[in-house]
Amino acid sequence: MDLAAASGECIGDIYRAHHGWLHGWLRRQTGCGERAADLAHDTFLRLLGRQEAKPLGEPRAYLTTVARGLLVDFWRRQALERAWLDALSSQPEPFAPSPEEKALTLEALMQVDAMLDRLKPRVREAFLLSQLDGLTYREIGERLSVSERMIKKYMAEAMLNCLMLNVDEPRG
Amino acid sequence: MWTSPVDKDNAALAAAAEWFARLGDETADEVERQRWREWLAAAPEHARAWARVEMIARPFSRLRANTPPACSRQALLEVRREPRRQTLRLLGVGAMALGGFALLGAALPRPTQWQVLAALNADLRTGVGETRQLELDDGSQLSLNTATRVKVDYNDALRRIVLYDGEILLDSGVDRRNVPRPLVVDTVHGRVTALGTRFSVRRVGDQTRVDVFAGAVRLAPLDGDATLTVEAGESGHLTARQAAANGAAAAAREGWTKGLLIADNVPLADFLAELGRYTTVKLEAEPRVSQLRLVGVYRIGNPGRDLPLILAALEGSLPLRVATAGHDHLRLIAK
Repeated sequence: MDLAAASGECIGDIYRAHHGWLHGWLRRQTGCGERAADLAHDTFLRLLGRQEAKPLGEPRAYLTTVARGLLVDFWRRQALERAWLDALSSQPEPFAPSPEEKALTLEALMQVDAMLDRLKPRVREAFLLSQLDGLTYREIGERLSVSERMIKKYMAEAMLNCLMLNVDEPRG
Repeated sequence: MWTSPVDKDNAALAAAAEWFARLGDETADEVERQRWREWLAAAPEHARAWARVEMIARPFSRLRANTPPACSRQALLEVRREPRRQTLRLLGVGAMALGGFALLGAALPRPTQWQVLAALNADLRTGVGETRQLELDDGSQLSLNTATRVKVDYNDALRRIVLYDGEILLDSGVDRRNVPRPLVVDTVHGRVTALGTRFSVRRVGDQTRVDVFAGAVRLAPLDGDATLTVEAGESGHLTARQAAANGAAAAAREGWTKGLLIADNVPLADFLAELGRYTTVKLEAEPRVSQLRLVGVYRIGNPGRDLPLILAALEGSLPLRVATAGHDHLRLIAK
């Protein structure tokens, strides 16, 4: 786990030298000191879990890159949460998720969201109608005005995209 | 023939995706399921591939179990909806004097120096007559032509640029991530994927035009399955339904990044249409001169200053003269 130490660098030194500006930068980006502290913390956690054995040449560049990635996730999560709560509030029957349900759902939404990036809009919609709403291919075909055969093609395309995404980009 | 493990795994993933689509079909029967089980048992990479399919299905089943699924779908689609198209406000046209070249001297912004773009998610725009060049996070150089609006949306999976209006030229940089992310330009008509490259993308009416100057790009229409690869020196276009080749790439589609307007034996009318993108002044040619052909390279770095010079050059090289036709309206007529 402690690869940074193994490669001759001391996390403590990096932390002392860089935590200040990183926290400041994140605070400016998020407008929230607490949120910035969490993201800075996560950034250093990533540093600890770094897979490469070679030393960090440019800690500042590395930390900024990681922090940006986390920020993007953070913004995405916020956008998803907002959109999801909006959708919930327009339901005929009110649904009030518990904090756990909310956290679990957002986590799952983030995972699904990451899979949808490379999909064409129609493929994306068909995939969601099938996997979330549980509609049959015939129902989806009627809704999108395309043949069932096309929907089957969309499904294979969507799944292959997700599979390749996982191959290409191991998380972490 | 020997097949590498990577190819085998990729083939297994493609087959797994196919099986996923078939089994999800409500008409899939026991015969089909039996064939799937046989496929699954036939090779270890098949089982590995199927395990991934199940992993991908997991967050979906969690969403179905916990909360109203339609809400999840709505949220997922909503966060990707493009911002509503906004009309570009034309720069100060009403405030200018009547007729003559003086009105062209309005302070249109000059092209800026290269700027490093710090934000990962940024909306960028240029006004009429303005061009702008930026360096993106990955070293890619992005040039915006006049009246252009784009969104730079770099995320973990994709380096994505959305072109809403106008024209851009991209010099793609090398993604320094361990697994390089694809660089794509999305328009309302489809997706342009860079295959290591210098190319321009322009929205014109109901299509997106792509000119490639180095490397190659792949065009994928929004609503069709056939893609088209366009190589260096060629051009192509996208409509929502199809991608098609267009012939040779036009030097003009690259020239603007250097502040040059290039007329390579084009009718005057076409040249004026191009020139008109840089100014709020309406330019037109009467029929007697509109089909005259024009060859030349004109500087358009600062439209306010350069437009009168270009018009003067046209008067010098073609049998025509420039007449005032109304408020902010010039007409080129036969001499």
